Amino acid sequence: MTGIRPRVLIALAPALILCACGSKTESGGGSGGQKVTYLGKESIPKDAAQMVFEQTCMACHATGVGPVITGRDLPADAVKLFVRNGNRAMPAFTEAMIDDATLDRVAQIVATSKAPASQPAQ
Amino acid sequence: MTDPIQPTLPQGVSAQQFEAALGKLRGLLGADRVLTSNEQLTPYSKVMMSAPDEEHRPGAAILARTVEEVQGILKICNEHKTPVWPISTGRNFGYGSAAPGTRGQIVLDLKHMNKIIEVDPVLCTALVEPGVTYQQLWNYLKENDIPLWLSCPAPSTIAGPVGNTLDRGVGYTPYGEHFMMQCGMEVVLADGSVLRTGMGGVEKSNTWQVFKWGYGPYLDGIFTQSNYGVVTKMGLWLMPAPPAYKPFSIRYESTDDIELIVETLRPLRIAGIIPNAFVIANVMWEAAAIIPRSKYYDGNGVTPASALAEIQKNEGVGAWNVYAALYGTPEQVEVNWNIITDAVKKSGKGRFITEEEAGNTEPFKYRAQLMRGDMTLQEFGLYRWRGGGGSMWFAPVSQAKGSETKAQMELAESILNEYGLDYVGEFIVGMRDMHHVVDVLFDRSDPDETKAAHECFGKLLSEFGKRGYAVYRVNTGFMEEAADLYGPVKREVDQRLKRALDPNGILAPGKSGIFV
Repeated sequence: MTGIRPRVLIALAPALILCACGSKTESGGGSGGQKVTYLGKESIPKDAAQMVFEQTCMACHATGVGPVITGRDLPADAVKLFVRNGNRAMPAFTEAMIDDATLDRVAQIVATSKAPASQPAQ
Repeated sequence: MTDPIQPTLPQGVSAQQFEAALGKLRGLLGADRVLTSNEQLTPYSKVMMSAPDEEHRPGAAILARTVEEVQGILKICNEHKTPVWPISTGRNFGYGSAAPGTRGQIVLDLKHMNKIIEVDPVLCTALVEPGVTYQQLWNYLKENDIPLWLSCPAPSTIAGPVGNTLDRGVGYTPYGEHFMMQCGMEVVLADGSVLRTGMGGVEKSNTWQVFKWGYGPYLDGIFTQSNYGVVTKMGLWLMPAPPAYKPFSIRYESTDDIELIVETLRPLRIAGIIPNAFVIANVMWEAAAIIPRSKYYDGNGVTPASALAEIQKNEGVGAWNVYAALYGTPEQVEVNWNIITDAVKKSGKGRFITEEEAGNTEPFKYRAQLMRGDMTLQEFGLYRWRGGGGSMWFAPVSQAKGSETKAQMELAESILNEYGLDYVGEFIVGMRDMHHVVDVLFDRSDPDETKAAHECFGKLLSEFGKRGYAVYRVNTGFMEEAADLYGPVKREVDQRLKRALDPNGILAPGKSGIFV
């Protein structure tokens, strides 16, 4: 996953525009008029990297705000580069916000992730 | 992490001074918590303003973990007359992010001071350190089955209560005026003394987080939007989860409806019928949460009215979109709901959308989350509206009167359009005021558009200022201009306080236009 060419990084830029956090607040409804429900503590991952992935990355990249990053075979090094540097609207994350060891694991989670069933091929 | 660069020096600080300070800071914190490499400092330099990143590049960043370390840091900075720029979680998007107000200052990063010291589920209070994020506090409440709600700004998760409150940010619940819901601070002053405000100085006191005022002059305010101390603990009040919660939207089809909206709803807000800091968002704010502008307009300049009309028609958004909520027992909610629906019906305009109708659709869903203090980043969609990552919040205070909001809206729109930029605006309704929040969005990768945004922002400040309107908060590129709007006496008093509390000017020089 090393030696990524600049051209590849540029191509990946739109794919990593936004990354930030959010809770796993979800709706049990759909558009059928059911009451919106909210997840509780069972929604909080115990593993630090998984927590960052679910509560931070996915808050934008699984909600249509940022582009889809799962199931795209994104190189882990590219993920780390964008997390640290940000890109346009995507904020940068300092090592105080996410340490190098946790970031390594988050990047692996993204790199090896599968596309959700409803995700269009990219 | 091994690519040391020539340090970026703060104004008036020699390389020798700076290196001497860094050497002592390494001795205090260890080399691994004194960041100087290009790679380490880049995330601290990323801003969304019109100014280049380089103008706000820090000379270093240091990571403190304890109050004693903060005291030690300030002692070293005083010895070497080297300034620090304290940050809590380092967000403040569109207001300067984590970067210092001026180039070369050392970022004093408090992110690792992230203890939730206490949550009292009986009195509904919390005491937290500056590095705590809303997400962290939300997780804590959930994990411990504490039925309390937060109030947070739109980028709720990565921001934190201390930083947001100290910059006098707002949220969307009945506790939306965050500084009003703050109670007690611990502040390290420039000379190293540790002040506890309110009841915090009373030996054996257990009322620090329940009574704001203490005795004598109330001091907490001077540590917000200022550079008089480093806040290392802050108390805040949390809202008990109500038995019933009813978020709703009211959609209006004409831009001119803003007057009628404000005149209809203001009395309900002042009387507490609508208890939360509700919002009135315009078509582009609303649309940005769900689509990029390019779906309807792929050109440059201002979004044409025809595209906006199409968006309203096809995306189910109004020219103005009210989001409010009711909280309490089901009986209370029902009574207030009837009062509100009657008032809107009598006004002759406005279509209600309830949670039952909206279901799981955006932007209703994220608005409902924000009004109950849940975590979401959906509003980051604003930043893809035009693309390019440029954003500066222009946030003048307005009376909650229809004529005033209309005048401000028209003035903002005309100035923005003059520079080819869109009016993407929202009013957040306070107790008597409205925060008129305009996101000046621009493509930061386009030098011409960035230059136009810079000039536009200056003109917004000055033209609004001529009419008696001033911003409640501003990005770090325009602090001097904003401070000038508040008059020379205010500036002089700010400076007198600075000289008394921080005679060497080592704390965040330039914050809110305050220098020693």
